[in-house]
Order: sequence, then C-alpha cells, then structure tokens
Amino acid sequence: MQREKLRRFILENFLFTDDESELNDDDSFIENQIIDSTGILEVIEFLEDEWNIKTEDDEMVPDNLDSVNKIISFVERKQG
Amino acid sequence: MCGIAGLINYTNPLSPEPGTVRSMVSVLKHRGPDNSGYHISENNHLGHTRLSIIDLSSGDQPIFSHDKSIAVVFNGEIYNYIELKKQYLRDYPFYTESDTEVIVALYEKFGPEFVNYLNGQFAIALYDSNKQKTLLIRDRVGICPLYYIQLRSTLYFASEVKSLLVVPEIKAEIEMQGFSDFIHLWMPLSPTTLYKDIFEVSPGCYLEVNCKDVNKYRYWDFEYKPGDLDVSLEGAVDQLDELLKDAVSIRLRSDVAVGAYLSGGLDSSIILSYLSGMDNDLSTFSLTFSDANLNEEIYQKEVAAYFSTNHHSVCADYQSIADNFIKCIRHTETPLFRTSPVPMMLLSGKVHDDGYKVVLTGEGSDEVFGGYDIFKEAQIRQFWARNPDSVCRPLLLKKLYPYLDFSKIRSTDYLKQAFGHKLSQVDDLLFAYHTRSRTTSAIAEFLVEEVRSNINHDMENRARESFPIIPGQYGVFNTSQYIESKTIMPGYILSSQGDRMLMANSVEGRYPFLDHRVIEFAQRLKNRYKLNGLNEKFILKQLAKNRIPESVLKRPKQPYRAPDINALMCSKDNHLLDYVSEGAVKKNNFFDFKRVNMLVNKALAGKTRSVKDNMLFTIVLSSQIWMDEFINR
Repeated sequence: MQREKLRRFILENFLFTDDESELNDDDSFIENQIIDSTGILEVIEFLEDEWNIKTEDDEMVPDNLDSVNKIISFVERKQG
Repeated sequence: MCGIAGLINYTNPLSPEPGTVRSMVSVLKHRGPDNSGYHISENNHLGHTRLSIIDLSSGDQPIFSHDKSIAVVFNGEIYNYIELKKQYLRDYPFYTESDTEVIVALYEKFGPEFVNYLNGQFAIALYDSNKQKTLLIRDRVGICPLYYIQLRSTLYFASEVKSLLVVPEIKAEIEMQGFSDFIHLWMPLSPTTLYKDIFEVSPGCYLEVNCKDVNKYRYWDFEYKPGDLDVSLEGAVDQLDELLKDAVSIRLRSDVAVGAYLSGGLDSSIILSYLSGMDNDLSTFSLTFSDANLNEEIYQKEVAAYFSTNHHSVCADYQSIADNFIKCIRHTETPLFRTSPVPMMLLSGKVHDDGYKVVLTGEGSDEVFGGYDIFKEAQIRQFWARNPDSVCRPLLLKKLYPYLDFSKIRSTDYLKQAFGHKLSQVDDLLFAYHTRSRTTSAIAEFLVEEVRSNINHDMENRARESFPIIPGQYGVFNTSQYIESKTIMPGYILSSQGDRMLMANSVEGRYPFLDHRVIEFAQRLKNRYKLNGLNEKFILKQLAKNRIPESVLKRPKQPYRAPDINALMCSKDNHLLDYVSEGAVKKNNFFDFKRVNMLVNKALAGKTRSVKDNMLFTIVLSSQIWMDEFINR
C-alpha cells in the first residue's frame, strides 16, 4: 500500500505520467534524472505528511531517498 | 526605435501596387506610432513606421541621397552621427538634421564598409539603385531585430515576424531545429528562428541582396584578448570611466525627454551616476513586486533619493502578470520559459503613460563584465573537474544559489547530480550550459512522439556549426561570455525581455554598456578585473566606489526574476488554463495531454515549487498560446 502510494506520487509529480512501466523500484532518482535536488524536498514533505515521520537533516542522503525501494526501507526503519 | 518592412526582387519587377508593404507596416504601428513612409520602385518596396526621437520635423523616412539613387529605411539610433558628420561628411549637402541621412552619406563615401563607423543600435535596409543591390544590416550585438524570408525570387524583410506573416503566401510553421535550440539554450541559434524558412539577420552581420543571390557578411564579432590591455586596475578604472561617460552622453542625444530604468542594482545605479551629472531633471522608472523576496524597492528608493530623481514605479503583482501574459507572447513572438518579460512590458507601459519615449538601462553589463552566476558556476565546475571526487569543491555551488533549496540538504550527491553533468568536458563550447540545458530540455518528455522524434539533442555539434570559434580557443570564462553574448543576450534579454517589451508601448531602450567601445575595452582586460575569484563585475565595483550608495555597492547580486506559476494561476476566471485544456492541447497536437494535465494538476494543488516545474509549466502554457497566435491561426 505504502509502495503503491509512493510510486504514484513519484510518477505523477516528477514523471508526469501514470505509465507504471516508466519507473522501476530500484531506479536511481539521481542517475535517471527523475528527481532533482529541489524535488527531493517535495519527497520528504510527502513522507512526513503521509506517514508522519520526521526526516532529520543527516538523513537526507541518497542512501535513504534515491529509489522507491530505498525510501520504503527508510520509512520502515523510521516506523520501526 | 521604429519598424521597417519591405520586399526586394531583382529578378522580376515588383507590382507597383504598395498594398503588401503597407499591410506589413500596419502591424508594426506599436513600434512607430508617429508617422509612416514608403519607397516604391521596381525592385524594392521599403516601408517605415516612425517613433520620432531625433529631428522631429524633417526626419521622416525613407531618406534619400540627393540624386535619389539611394534610399534608406532604418530602425534605431546612430549615436555618433554628429561626430561622423564633422569628421567625414563636412561637405555633404544634408537636407535633414536626422541621423538617418548620415547613413546615406556614409554609404556614398565608404560603400558597405560604412557600417564599421557607426556607433549605435540599428536595423537598416539600404537600397542602391545604381548598383542594383539592397543591404540589410543589423547592429553589432542584436539590439534591433530584423527578419527575412525568401519566397521564389522575392525576399521579404521586417522588424518582427508578424509583419512577414501578413503576406498571404507566407505560412507559419514550426522550425524544429529552432525549437530544439530553444529547449536547450532558451532561444534558437541565429540565424535560425522558431519559424520554418524565416531567418534573422544575425547581429554583427549584413545581407547583400542583388540580382544573382543573397550573400551574408560578418563585419563584427566578440573577440576576447584577456590581458591585451596591460594596465593597472586603477588605470583600467580611469579608462572605463571616460568610456562610460561618453557612452552615456551620446545616448542622451534626443529631441524628446530621456528617462532611465532603475533596478536598484549596481548597473543601473552606475548609469544613473553618470546621468545625474548631465541631466538635472532626471526621471527614473522601477519595477516592484508583491513577492517580497523579488522586490528591490528599498534599494530603488535609496538610489532615486541619492540622485534626486523624479521616481516612478509600477508593481507587477500576480494578477497583472497573468492578465498580460497573452499580450506579452503576441509581442515576443516566441514561447517563454519564464514570465520575466511581462513585468518589463508593464514597466515600459508606465514610461509611456508618463510621457517618455526613451530610457537608458544597465542591460549588457552582466555579459560584458562577467556578472552572471553562470560564469561563476562554470568556474566552480572547472575547478571541481580537476578533482571530480572532491567533496568540498562542489560545496562552493551552495554559495552561488542561496535561493535554491540546496542549503537544506547536506549530501553533495544532489549537487553532483545537478551540476556534475558532463563535468569532464571542460573544452566544450557549451560547458557552462550543461546544467541549464538539462533542466529545460526535460520538456522534450512532454512532446507527442512525432514531435519529440524531431528534437535534436546534439547541441555541442550544433554549437560548433553555429559559432566561428573553436573549442579551447578561449578559456571557460571567455567562452561562456562569448556564448552568452551570442545567444541569450540577443535572443532573449535584448529581444523578449528588451526590444519587444519596450516597443509594445512605443518606448526605445538605450544601452551604454553595449557601446561597442565599452565591449571592446572589456574584452582586452585581464579576466580577473571582471571575475575576481567569485566576485563578479570587479572593475565596475571599483568604479562605483563613491559614485553610488554604499549599500547598493555592497549588496549581493540579485538576478532579475518574476513569479511564474504562482502568477500564471491568477488569471481572471483561470482563463489561461483554457490553453492547457484537453481540447486545446489535442488541437495543437504538440504536447502529450496526459503529462500536461498532471503538471497542471500539480500546479493547481500548489505543489510546483521547483525551478524545473516552473519552467516546464511556463514553456507549455506559452507554447500553447504562441501556437494559437502564430502557427495555427
């Protein structure tokens, strides 16, 4: 459910499409130019609004935020 | 400024009926509402619509040589016409006091080489009936526009594209190379335009049209010789002071009142510092914004008070930007990636309403003296490229764009993503432009497949074909100065944001920093006198000491920006959104409606905050309007 919501958010807000085939869950947002440095703030805002988690400054790194899978793992860890 | 238009045909005689040229001139009335005039001959129909500024009583055009063998229509100003008369034309029997007649006289004396003697801004059509040729000449840097199209044996020319499009045989079609250039570099690379088969006379060039063919000649270009002027900083400041004083002084030549734009920054304040000693009744005009982070009103008022000017201002709020967006596109004749031309049109409207026809501006200084952030960005990227794994080097970019949201993100990976593209290609002509190009060219994803397949993404080769310099000829700084001066400056700053927005309200802009003597002087300076580390326009700041308020001298550079999506969503009854409705998008069959709709929905939800989203939305909306107004009329 979380994954679907997140995927839809990325597809609609950054790729401007509903074509599921345009985004794989392991696709790097940076390498594939899906989300730029200002866009990542929109992602964080989405995570905070949707799942009520707070992202600390030192957590705003690609290891946590650079793909659908990485974000899902990050959210799961936070919700621990 | 004025408007010119005409037809040239040396193969078949033109009809003696002037209907076509009259129609072409009639749509340029905003450029010259005061008078119009024509010359009709077998080979040339020349038309002119006049904004009277010099020699109000006898300066109507065309102007002829005494034997009537030469006719000239001309848009612009020759600022050194008095000196030219004294130096070269003492015995010439002038019949007017206008600067236009100097063009005729100089041509008679020097032939086409006469253009090298001119100091000014101009688009000239000169018909020499004895030699059976016509010259179409454009100023060195591209202040005055001039377009043409060849249809069979007739060449049509005009100050604006809309004037060509009134000719029934001329159909507007999109030139995809021009659009490819636009989405990468923000404007087509000259002489290409966004219109198929319509070209511009490139800045610094003239066309010679005769019975055999059309030949293009370049008479001037930007040429960087850093350090050629071996002089101390103090000596360079003194020389620049003399040059600017004269550049401003000759730009006051006018038989109507001259005002000045005041942004509240360094450049316009320097221009004012010279004007204040020459004009005791000076009026200044400023833009203010309802957006506090874009508003420079405090500095504008401070400078106006410092120089005791009669200060006028106009506020560009969201509503006024939205309400004037369509009118703006009608004048720019191109799609836009920013709304920033619209407030400039509101400002020239204020100038016009307050009874002024001429303003001096500080435009050009950033290109000539290295003021733009993109020059610093290129310097940092070059420094970073020497050690691509460095963690610290890309952090310098955070200092450059404090208004972007990088500061909130500690990881340099995002900086590397944004600015590290093609980092190693330091010798590319477009090295400085890779970041910018990648942002705007994302619009290609919004195009329908048959349009997208015609986009040319190989801009480096395109640049090599378009510019007469070779990679590595200049260093990164001078190369980016060169590209900026040949692309964005004529193609956007001086046109969409300059001439078109001024002429929309019949106002002429004059640019002391673009006096070619100032440009040539700056090109010979040591580069560190311009970009000193990351301190831009260093020599100008030295010059400005004790000339302008200290607070203005010390304030960080604030690029001119206007609100985009926030403003565009404020049109009355949201009528601008009609242009991105399903029906409108599918009618033009240029953009993919699904993607456009998602972008629009994101904007409606108030979630489009990034630079990229703002650019994408502005390009889509403005392109839709542009196609309705010009392509699919």
